[in-house]
Amino acid sequence: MTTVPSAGMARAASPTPGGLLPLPLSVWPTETRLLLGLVVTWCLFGLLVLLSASWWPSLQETGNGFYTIQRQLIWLAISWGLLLLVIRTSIRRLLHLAGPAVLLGCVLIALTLVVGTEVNGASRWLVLGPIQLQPTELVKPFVVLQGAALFAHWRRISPDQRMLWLGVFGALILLILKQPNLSTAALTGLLLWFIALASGMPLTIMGGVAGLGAAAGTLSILVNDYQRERVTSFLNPWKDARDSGYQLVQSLLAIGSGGTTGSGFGLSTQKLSYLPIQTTDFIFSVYAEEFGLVGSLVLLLFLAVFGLVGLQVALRARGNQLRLVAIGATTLLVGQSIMNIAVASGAMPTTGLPLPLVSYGGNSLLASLFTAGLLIRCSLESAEHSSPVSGRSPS
Amino acid sequence: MPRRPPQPVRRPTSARHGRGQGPVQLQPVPAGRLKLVLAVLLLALGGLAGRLAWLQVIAADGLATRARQVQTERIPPLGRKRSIVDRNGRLIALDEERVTVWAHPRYFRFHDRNDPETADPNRHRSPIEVARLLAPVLGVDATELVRRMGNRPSGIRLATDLEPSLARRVRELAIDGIDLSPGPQRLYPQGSLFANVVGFLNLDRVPQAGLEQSRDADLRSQESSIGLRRTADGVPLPDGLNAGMLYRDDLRLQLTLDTRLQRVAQLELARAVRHWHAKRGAAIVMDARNGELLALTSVPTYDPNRYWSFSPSLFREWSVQDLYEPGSTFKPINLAIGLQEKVLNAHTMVDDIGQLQISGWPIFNADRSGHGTIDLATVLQVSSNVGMVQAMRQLKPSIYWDWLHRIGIDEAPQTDLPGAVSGQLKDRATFLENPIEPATAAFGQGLSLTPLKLVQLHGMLVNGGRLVDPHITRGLRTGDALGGPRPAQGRQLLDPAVCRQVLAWLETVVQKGSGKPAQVPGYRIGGKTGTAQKAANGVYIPGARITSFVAHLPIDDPRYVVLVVVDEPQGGNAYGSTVAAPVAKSIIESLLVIEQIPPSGAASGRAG
Repeated sequence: MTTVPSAGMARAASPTPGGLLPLPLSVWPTETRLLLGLVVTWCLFGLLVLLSASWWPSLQETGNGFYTIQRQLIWLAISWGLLLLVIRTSIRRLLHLAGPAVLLGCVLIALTLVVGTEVNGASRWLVLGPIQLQPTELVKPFVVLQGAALFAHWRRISPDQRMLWLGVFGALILLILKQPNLSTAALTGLLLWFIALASGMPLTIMGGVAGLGAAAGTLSILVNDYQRERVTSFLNPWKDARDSGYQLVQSLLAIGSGGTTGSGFGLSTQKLSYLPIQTTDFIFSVYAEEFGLVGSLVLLLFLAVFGLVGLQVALRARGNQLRLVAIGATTLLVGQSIMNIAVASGAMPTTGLPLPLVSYGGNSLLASLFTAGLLIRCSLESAEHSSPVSGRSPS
Repeated sequence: MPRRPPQPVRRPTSARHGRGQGPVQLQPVPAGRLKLVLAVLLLALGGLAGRLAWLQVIAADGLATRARQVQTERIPPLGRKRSIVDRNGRLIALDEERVTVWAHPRYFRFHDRNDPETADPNRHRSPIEVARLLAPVLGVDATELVRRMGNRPSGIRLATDLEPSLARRVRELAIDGIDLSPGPQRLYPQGSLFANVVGFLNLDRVPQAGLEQSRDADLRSQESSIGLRRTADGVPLPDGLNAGMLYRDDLRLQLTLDTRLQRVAQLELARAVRHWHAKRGAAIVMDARNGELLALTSVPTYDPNRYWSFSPSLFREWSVQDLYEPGSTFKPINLAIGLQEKVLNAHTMVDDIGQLQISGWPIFNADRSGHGTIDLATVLQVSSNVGMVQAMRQLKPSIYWDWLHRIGIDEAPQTDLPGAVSGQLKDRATFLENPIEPATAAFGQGLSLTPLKLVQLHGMLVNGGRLVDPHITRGLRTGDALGGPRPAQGRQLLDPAVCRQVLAWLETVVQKGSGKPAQVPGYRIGGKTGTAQKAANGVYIPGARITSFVAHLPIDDPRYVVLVVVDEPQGGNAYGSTVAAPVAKSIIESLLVIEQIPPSGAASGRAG
């Protein structure tokens, strides 16, 4: 991997001394500032939604309605620290980290299969004292980086290198599947597929891979009973509304109760223990009940805008790796949001995925803000590259 | 978008990357592909927008309605029934809340806080896991609970009649698949004391007898079904609650009966019935001014709390529902009719020759001897049948019949007592054509009525001629409030002077006649014994008699009627004076104390 050169960003590797930011905010290009603003907005939005969604379960379980939000604030602070660290670090250096990080992720995920703690029958955790690690979450940004590194120079990489990393990714997905965490496995697979698609791989190959993936998924569903049950209860959740269809039914009831304008902030009824896991997987349902279709569309519009800004960053980025990192980070954040909302609204079989920057969970926050940091860093590096033109012209 | 072929982007060298580093030629990431990726994402977002629009606009009403149904707990009326209290507010019947525990093993889930390893609240739990949690609270062995659950998936009645405090502890366990359904249970703290009047509810809370049955509508609590929105953990939400929705009325049905007097009456009656090996007995105490019954008891009776271990034939009050020929206790009524019609007066003398032949039927005195020419007071004192026939002969049978009809022998008394029946009186034509009919009626045979009716008739003598409605309920009262006595009422049929005259004669019966056993020192009491032959299908049963005693007190301020009837006492000495009068005396003594009736003045002890 070290032989792969990136579009030279020598200056970016040396951050401005003293400040938290690599460059003073005032010289950030508009696009990057907009991106930062979107991420901050997303985080604040997430806090408000989580405050409403978590108040009741926190009160029930700990007696303190702010328990969840307090912990989320701590995690948010840590994650923003990580984000700042990321935007001060050159993408090239991060790309160097990606390979070992993905390998470490594989090891950790394999470890969860041996000593992990199971939650909700899936997504295993590693418990280290007070901290619970969810390697499947943490590995995602590195998958973006490594995927970008791999596909950016696909043609220049030796076949054995290609096979090595394709094999590592395959193993990673299989390990996640083994947890069993179908949703994260699917998300990781889709993410890599989209990065590959973006890299300009021939459409025939992409189509073939997609077909293979679909076939494998179908086969898996036919073979595994619990997966088939998920799919059938997804197709008709009302059939067994008290058992296998329970989660989806409660979620649909919440979303439908919202109607056009919603019940108002804090006034969801379904969050009062009717909705299961209402602070993570089904947090969108709480939001949709409280803010109605108007709120839902605003969120979707926000995601679209974020996606478009992400695309802009990717288009402006100098160098294939930067482009793919940008599009990969965008795909990860927007795509995971889409999957979460699709599950909550019954457009996809019920699988557990957090809504980035909204759902409760330190691992998810770390991974999401790391990913957002990658996008901001890409934008900055492009800007620095073009700053001699745009930045200096007024002076 | 996907249709656009990516080929044009494939250029051998990148023109844009002018500084083109790297040894191998760089193939730039095509912008079209980046746009394609975003296009796919936007397409998905658009699809989601469509899905959400469908859910939140088109399907919204249906889903919202369904959500309301899930969130709203309908609390059906529990079928609470109002309490019944005696005239002083003592509880006679009440509802207590008891809880039934239902198990639905297919939904068994719980959150085990002590065991983080298996803390997953969505994991299905086995019956034994749930039983282990429940066993210490229910006080039932876990294996027994598992046995009760068997293999059934739901709808198992795990425990019944649970105290609400225990039910709360079960609820605190927060086990999915364990439901609690609270329900009221009827209790009768006085046991058998009021069973004959109050009746009971069976295990399905269907009223089976007594007031519970006849006043069912009044005893039913005002309850409406409440729709209450709740959280899934069961916490009620204030949303949609209107004022008064949780209102529960605290009305109680107040009776006129007095528990203390009722208890004395029952004890004394039971003792007499036992002593005389009688078939049954009844005792009634009525306030003749307004018809309120202070005691109405009968023997044998049953315990309404364990009604299933008694014969259903006991579930009726015979003193209200069964007819008997009153015999001598009817004589004072006849004399009052005679006085009212002025065919008799205070100085009328009759010739008691001991035996009479009427239309070929012989009529004797009970002792088969004659008493010569005697006044009417003496007729009552010695209970002369012949004397009564001679006296009533002076009344035209048609007028006599009209009076018997007017005082309501052949109609049921207006009463709130369940199942009161009308008496039997020969029809007018028979009565007029056969001289034996008025003759037997003169000493209280040949017609039949209920003990309750007889009390009503004697009440007429006591209250100065009014026919009052005997009743046992004062009505519904809120909370601890108690109603006062009803004002005097009733139809005026006799002159007060007539009644005073008859009472004066009746006082002599207790002073020196057959009523002596009912004397209470210091009080002026009137009374009349009765010993009648029992008839079945028109034929008198040899040796079967019904003994009774009716008392009127106090003579100086007449107010109460006490009637004691003992059916089929055994033994040669079983008469109204020996069987019924002592019971009446005990009841009177208690009545005097309970009602705080002062002793009669200096006039007491002297004939009226």
